[in-house]
Amino acid sequence: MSPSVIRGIFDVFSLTSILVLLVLGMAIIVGMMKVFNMCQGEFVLLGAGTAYLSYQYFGSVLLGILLAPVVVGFFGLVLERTVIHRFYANPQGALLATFAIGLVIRETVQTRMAAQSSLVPAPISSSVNIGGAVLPIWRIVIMIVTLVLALTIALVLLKTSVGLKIRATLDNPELVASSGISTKWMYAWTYALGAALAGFAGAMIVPLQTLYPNLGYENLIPMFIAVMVGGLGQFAGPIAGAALIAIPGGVLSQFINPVSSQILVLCFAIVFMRFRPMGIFQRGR
Amino acid sequence: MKRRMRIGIAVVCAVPILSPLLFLSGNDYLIQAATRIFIYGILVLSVEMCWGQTGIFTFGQAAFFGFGGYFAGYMAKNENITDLGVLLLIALVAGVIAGTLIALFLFSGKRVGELYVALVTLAISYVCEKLANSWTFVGSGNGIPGIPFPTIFGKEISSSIALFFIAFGLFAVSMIICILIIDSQFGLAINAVRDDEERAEFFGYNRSLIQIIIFIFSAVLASIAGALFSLSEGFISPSSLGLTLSTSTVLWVVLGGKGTFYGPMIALAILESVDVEMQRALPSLWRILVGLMLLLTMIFLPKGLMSLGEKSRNKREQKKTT
Repeated sequence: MSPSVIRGIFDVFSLTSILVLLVLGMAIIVGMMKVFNMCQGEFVLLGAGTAYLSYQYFGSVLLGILLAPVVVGFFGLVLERTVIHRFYANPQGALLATFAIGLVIRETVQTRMAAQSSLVPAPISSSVNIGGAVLPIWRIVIMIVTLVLALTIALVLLKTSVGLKIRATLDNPELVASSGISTKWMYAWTYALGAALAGFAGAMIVPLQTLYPNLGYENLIPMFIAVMVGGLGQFAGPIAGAALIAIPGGVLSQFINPVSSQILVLCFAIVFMRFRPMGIFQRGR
Repeated sequence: MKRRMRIGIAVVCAVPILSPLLFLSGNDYLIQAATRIFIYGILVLSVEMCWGQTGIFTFGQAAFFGFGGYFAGYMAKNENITDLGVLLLIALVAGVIAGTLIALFLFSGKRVGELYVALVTLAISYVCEKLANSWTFVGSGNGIPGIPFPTIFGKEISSSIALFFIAFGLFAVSMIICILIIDSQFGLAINAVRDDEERAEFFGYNRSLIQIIIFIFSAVLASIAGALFSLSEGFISPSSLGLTLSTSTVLWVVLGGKGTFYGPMIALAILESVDVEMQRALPSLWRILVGLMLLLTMIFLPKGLMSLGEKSRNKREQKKTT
């Protein structure tokens, strides 16, 4: 294989892992809780900002990556208890309220940022040479972390008692409440988990890009489309949806320019969603 | 005559009577801002017709706005068609075509969820912005600058006062048409679709046809507004197609109160007219405040600012009866 082919295949996998990583939190909040969370992109932005601040004040991006899920998760917890919980019965209201929250966060970051965009270096900036292609190690780390994280969450949700409680709460809150579990806090912590994952994703990917106020918002639509293609209701759907969008997009962008390939894939995804509204894992009704 | 119509006619009469005050100030900038408010007013009308009256949650109305704007701007600049009537007709046809395609895709056949519609329209707006940003044929990131002023019967309209009256005239016509639609029998049918799609279907109304008609109608309104925008401002850029304008339109409608008809326009007029001043006075805080306002409205006044008036009216009526 020539180096350019290896590089191309690597790029496809790298793009896919980034989108999957971004979608993990959304798979929980939108996919499982069915809250149309328009501020998910801003959670990503906050995570990226945490990494940047940690780099500024402590000189360590790695610390920022570890702090990001804690900070953003706590933020999500507070947000759920103050705002989101009012809108579970009103999905349209939830969409607008979270959109407003996103707007506030984005504008706040915009005013706090002195420069247009800031660079955050990767904790590991070296690269490896495989078959003549030079591949940055940080991208490889992201792939591995994404894979491990997705599997871990899936296992926690499916095999542990906490996961069982979460799934039960989202499935039938009344029954769970009458079994003596506080559904109020189950919702709050599940939302916080989704936020934490988005924050973590933001901190992980910010070294590949720069930190700018629209960092999350730019990714919001592809993330949403991925979740909708995968289908709501379970954790695995959105992950598969992300892969389904990123892989053709990545392959196409080897041949035509990246913007056109992204537009093409999004258009196909929109048409696909029209005919399979329940996503790829739709079962006959 | 219904109350809505009375207010509409009052507005139509009041603006030309009051507008000399605006011109006496001699401030061209002020006149242009007022023109912009009426142009955005048409866009807000289109969202209100779709979302407030028919329950179609369109989150990407700016796509049609920009589409019409690009079409008219391109024709005026590169094909030397400057007659205002012809350009508006072009925008109308463009709006019909784009609106029909998307309406058929969304509403023919099986019913789709409300949030799906929101997401798809938002995604369309996002895709259009990306496309306009990278397509050199329409000037990529710069858009189309230097669009010539439109002409009527060969006479160039370049004064801001004339443009103001054209924008106001089109706004007034659109508003009256919208009121006539809502107050007609068909208006009752579209409100029925909004309140309960399924029940409207059971009563024998063709739900999908009604949604398609209204969606195309509002696409045409948005497209004409866009054409007017590009002609009066002299440029059109990708941001006119994109998420920012799409979402600000939704913001005006939510703040004013969707379904109240005049609420969104009042919200637009207030926010747009203080926007410039506030951006100067509180450059960093203003946009944050707008976001907070939206959030607080969603939590405490889900029906928008207009519901304040309704509440107090209800209270007064309660007092009368007791």
